[in-house]
Amino acid sequence: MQHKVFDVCVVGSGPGGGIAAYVLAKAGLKVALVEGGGRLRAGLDYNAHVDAHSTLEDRLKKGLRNPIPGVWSDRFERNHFVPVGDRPGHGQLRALGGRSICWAGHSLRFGPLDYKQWPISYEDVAPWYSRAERLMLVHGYKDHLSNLPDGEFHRGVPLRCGEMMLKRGVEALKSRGRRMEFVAQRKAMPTEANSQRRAICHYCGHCMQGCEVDSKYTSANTPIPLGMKTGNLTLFLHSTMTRILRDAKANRVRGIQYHDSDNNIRELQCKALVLSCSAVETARHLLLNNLANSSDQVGRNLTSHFGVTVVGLFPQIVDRDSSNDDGTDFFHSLLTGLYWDQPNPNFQGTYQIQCGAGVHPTRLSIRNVPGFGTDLKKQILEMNACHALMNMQGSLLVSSKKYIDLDPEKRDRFGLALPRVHLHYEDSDVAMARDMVATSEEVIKAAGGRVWSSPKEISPQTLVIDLNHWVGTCKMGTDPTKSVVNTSGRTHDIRISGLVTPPCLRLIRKRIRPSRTLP
Amino acid sequence: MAIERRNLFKILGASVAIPGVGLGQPQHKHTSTARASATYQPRALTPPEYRVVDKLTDLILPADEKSPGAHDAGVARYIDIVLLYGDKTTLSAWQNGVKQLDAAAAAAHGRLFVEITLEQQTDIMRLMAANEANPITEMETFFAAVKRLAIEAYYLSSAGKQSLGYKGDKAISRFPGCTHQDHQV
Repeated sequence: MQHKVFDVCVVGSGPGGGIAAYVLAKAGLKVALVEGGGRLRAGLDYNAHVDAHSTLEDRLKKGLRNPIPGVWSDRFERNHFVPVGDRPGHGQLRALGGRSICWAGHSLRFGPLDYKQWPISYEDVAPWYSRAERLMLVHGYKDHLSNLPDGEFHRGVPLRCGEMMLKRGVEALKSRGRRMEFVAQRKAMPTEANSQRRAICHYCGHCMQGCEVDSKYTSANTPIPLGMKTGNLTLFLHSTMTRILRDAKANRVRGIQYHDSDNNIRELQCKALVLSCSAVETARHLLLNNLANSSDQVGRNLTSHFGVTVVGLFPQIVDRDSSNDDGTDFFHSLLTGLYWDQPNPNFQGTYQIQCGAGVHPTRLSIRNVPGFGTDLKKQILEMNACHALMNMQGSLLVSSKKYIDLDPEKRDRFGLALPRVHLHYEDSDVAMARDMVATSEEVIKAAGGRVWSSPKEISPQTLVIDLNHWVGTCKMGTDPTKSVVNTSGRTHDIRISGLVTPPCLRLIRKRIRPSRTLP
Repeated sequence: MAIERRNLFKILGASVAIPGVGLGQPQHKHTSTARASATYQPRALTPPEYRVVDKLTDLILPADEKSPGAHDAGVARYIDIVLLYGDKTTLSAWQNGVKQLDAAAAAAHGRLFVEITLEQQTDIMRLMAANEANPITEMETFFAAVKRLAIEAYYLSSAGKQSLGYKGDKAISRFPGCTHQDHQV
């Protein structure tokens, strides 16, 4: 039993929880950071630089099928929820740093248009973006785009040959009046020497499997160690929250109950609670504890990225000199600027397209080439050398058909109801994906390329949801009857204590036009 | 001797009962040019089955002027290990595929698959691959399975990387990106 009363208890050490714990500890508060997993050591517990043929058997013995080791392939949990409808997925990583360990590092600011329906503006948030970029060490180019504001960047990482072809296509379409932009990605990996002494990126391309030199920003390698240095941050690892303790008389949260690594039930006392354990799990715990839900909005307004993929081949670069295409993982570039100021009448919101190219043996974008023999090898080489892949990141329509609730029967090992993720694609979603396919094919052809693969028909069955980009579930607003948290990210219902939720903490992440989650 | 597609499947239909050329005949001699895949002793497949898979994958991804083929890349070894830790149904489907392949070679040429000439092997392969986009028969499905795993194994090997002219997997201080003047926008 812990008798100490912490000022704040932060549950979840991922992208949101890690930074919250650091900022609060730096401000002088005594902070407990509760994490279900343990520490992973960069380069030891994950390292994708292996000879797959040599390590194959050891990995198969452990039940690991992916020949390349890494956090994403080895440690990701995918069965901690109940999917309902159109194949929703959700990833979870129980480890200090959470999914920040296996994120791609994409760090894009939301723009003024994205905040139009929020009770806070871009101007309110801009200084915080700058602070975050300085801490995270984000690289990128200044592109001077209206709704993708520039930040405080390290030197940008240039495009590969195939991506250069896509840029050519976009420029050709722009000259004909189309509104779109093609830019290099902005990612949280230092490309210059820095005062944090984080290793400069060495461009090996394995970012999402875990950066084995800790160059990529994670909660585990930057804010949490900084928080520990203050002396105000205490870690509770291998500790899973199972209940939120409430002082009903004072209408406040007084702590949490958790299971430690030996399965002992313990309590942790605190004056305020920060929940930051993903959009799915945060909503689940609020629902399990019947907390902060007088508006009946907890679990609703759920959205994520979804999409399809189109691949183009560019004959003009088929004979190019071979080059080192690894870079900062696969997606180096972004097609954006679509429908920023002129909405498409066929769907609500908009999408962006993350693009990648180059020769990557471990990924091998193009492998389904017909035939066999030397001609097969020649074609695999040529196609991978001259391809560019375009992957849609669409903003899923927010509606009553997408939400989180509790499964009435299925339980986790602590006897708690599992969350259900309800996903049902709608006409707007399908129309958006069709538009993406048409746009991508147009870009490829405008660049003098040919479409190698593209979905022939778009239906809910062909759409793919992103495992990691769920947001919503704790809607921000000024009306307590229609929202869960206020503009400071605190729940309307519980006085004194605060419940800070993923949408409020993750202001730097992949663009998803969160305005769609608001009234 | 060239074989017609319809004849091959006719042969395959009767393959199991062909006398004298069953699997597990250690006395058969190699006439193909493939060298043994190093010193690896197969554990999922039998040695004769392993030799067929080794030959088959080397036909799919052969050596050329730029890089070694699947045989030298250890693709068969990789596959055998995958099958060793995979489910029994998959292993048995592979073993059945090998059996049918040997039976087809025997029916058409009177010898096991690894004993017929390269031209004859290629001829059979061509028939197996003819309906690759939409495999229906067991042999077509077998070909698709072999090819899928062979490509995975090959391009994870140094031979595969060599064939791609791969220059990555090394630490560099600055990523150059596309440096071709004629590609710039």
